[in-house]
Amino acid sequence: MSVDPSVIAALRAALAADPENIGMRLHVGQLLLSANLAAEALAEATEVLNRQPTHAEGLKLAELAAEAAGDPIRANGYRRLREALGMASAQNLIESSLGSVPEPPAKAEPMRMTHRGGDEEEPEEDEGDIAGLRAVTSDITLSQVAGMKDVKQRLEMAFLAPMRNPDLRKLYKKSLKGGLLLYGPPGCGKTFLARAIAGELGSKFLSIGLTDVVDMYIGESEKNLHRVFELARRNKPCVLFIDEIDALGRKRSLMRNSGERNVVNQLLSEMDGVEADNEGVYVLGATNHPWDVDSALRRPGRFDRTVLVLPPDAPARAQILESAMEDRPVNKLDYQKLADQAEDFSGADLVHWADAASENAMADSIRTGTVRSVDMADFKQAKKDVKPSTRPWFETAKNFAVYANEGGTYDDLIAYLKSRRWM
Amino acid sequence: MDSGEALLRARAYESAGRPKEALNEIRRALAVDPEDPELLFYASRYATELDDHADAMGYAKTLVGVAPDLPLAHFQLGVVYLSINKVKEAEEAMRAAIGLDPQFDDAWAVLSIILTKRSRHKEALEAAETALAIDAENSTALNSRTVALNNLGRRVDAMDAAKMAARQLPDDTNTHQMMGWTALRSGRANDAMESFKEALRLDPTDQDAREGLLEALRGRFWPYRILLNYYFWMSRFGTQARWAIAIGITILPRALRGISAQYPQLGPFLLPLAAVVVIFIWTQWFLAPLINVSLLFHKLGRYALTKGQTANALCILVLLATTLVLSVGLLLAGRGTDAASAVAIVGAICLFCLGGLGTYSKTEGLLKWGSVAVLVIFELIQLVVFLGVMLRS
Repeated sequence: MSVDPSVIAALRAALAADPENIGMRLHVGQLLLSANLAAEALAEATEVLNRQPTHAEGLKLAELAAEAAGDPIRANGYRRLREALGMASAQNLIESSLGSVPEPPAKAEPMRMTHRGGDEEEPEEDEGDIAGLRAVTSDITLSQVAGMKDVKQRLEMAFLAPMRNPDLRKLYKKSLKGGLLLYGPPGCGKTFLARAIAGELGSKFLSIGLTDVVDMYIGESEKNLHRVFELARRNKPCVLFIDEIDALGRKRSLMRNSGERNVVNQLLSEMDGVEADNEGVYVLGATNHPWDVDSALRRPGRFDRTVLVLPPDAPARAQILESAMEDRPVNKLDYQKLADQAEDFSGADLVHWADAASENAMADSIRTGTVRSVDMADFKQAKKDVKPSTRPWFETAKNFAVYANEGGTYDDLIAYLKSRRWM
Repeated sequence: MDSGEALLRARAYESAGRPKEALNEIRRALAVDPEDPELLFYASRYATELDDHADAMGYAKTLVGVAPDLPLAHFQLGVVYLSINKVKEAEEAMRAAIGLDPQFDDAWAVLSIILTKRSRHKEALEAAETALAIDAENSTALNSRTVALNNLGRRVDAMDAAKMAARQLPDDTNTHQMMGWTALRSGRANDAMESFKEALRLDPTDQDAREGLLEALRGRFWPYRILLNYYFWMSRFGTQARWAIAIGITILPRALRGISAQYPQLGPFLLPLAAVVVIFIWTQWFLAPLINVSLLFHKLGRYALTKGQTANALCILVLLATTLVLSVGLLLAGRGTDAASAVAIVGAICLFCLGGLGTYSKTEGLLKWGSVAVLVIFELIQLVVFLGVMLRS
């Protein structure tokens, strides 16, 4: 593809005026790359990475540019870094859009913890750390989570209020342990909600995800899991967040050998606090596959409450779109109207939609040589390529609600499906 | 990353129920070491699990190429062939695996499934029993043995086999399905329903269990049980024999009428027989879609029907209702029985089309939109007839 040098020059001038505009810088890099100016593209990519070292598209661009510049070793380094970060950054993207605040700048304390040799330059040599895990405080609060009124209310009554009122807690003999299982379609902000809960409580937040779990399976799984809980206990009050809990607390009947079952058994006994007191440790689990979670995990004292996290409702959708378009040039966008057209969109879908619409406007600007704002027509155009991703989840979930609703596990879900006339 | 670590990570992802991530781990390692047999085996296995048949086949063929003396290689190739219903190639591969390792119980068990698909039920039973002699708890073989016994018409043995399998594998959805089918073959629709419900409780996304539940729900009506028994009886034969039987039954009434025309004294015996066969043929055509209509009002039946079946059943329901209303309306308006029967005949032709669609359409889309289209066309004709008669003063 040939690129008009004047376009690049114009964009570079704009960039000089607004050096922090990462999106534009990336675009310039991409144009340079397609104009066969690999070295210059690589320089732009490096600029992006200086500002946001974990920027996925920045890494991708750097990888391609380094390759084109004839430096395969460097390209390979970027690729591996990008792959290692792939999941975490995808989550960040969704999460940052679900709150009404933009993503915290990269210099801030990393929220999600850090796998061995992952995104941190100097891993801390704290003795208690396992696989780079450490407890951090979260500065996001529930008020920054768009929508989810019912979920917040349930959380407040079940957990937050008793935690904030120690006297009442004592009076009613309510213990501060146990857990909450968040489930729902992918991309609807379960992870962000968990972080907001930790922020709300002013407690430490410890998070483990799929890769940590896999590391656990490879090492001495039971010991590793024990260390994670010990770390949480040392940092109490602490919220221990286990993302994709179905991977760790998988139904034992789905396991092929007994070694794997030990991990589940260990998780059960850690949650029971058999060897140590769990007072002050609250375990939050999140999953898209609640049906794969071992039912023993749902007994009292473990995940005794299950909360369905639904796709955002219309006001929340408007809020998500608005925050996704923040810092972008917009022209007469009616967020309410857009939100009304986006039923069943997950937070991630909405962000994707906003990105696609912005891309349209940008492509247009490049074609015509004049910068124009993103308008309703761009959203309309972009809608063709964006489909709500939550439907297939509900299709599967319906089957479980019909055939496997023992003990009313999925009553919330059934109520929702019925309210949508899907059941 | 070396292949050993990749395998460990892949197995861990597999344990965590993430075949996609597992396959990615393996693929990365394969990029470095493209001929590692173990990597190739797992790549093919995860790809099969993800229904990525082309990739699964590619990996399996490479695997057989690099390790032709590895029984597992031929086994995996057979599994992939089976997953795309190439039963002849699947059998060859599985027999190659067994040739290299006669004690390979899983290969015998899968061979049993393949032979069942090829309608060689006696051999299928032997293969399942060979697998069980090597490992008495081989789940595939336990289930396949039940299937083979059922297909051989040995109902009592099949029920025993199903019960034994259920004792050993209480959490296996297939085992409960086998119990269900066995019960259905013995005409116990309610027991079958319970088994299929249990199978669905264990895995609500299992389409075979859903179909089983649907058959059990229909099997509560005795005319449908006759039909089911006929289908079960047919399933013992190979494809060609089944076609022969079906064609034979279709031309039987004509033949019977021909004979009774030549030998009138046989008429009283042959003509009723011909009528029964004709009714049976029509039952085959209409019964399942008609029963589906009643399932629309059944608590579980509603969910057991697919979207296409639901659409088809709704169309039939609408057709029956309008045909009734219009023809009764004509009678009440004193327009005579001719007009009413004209409307009814149009309805009957439409029912014929909808029944055919309901019984024989292969795709959900055809079933759904075909039914709607047929209904709309015939409803219009009915309406034209109705209005034509009513307006002709």
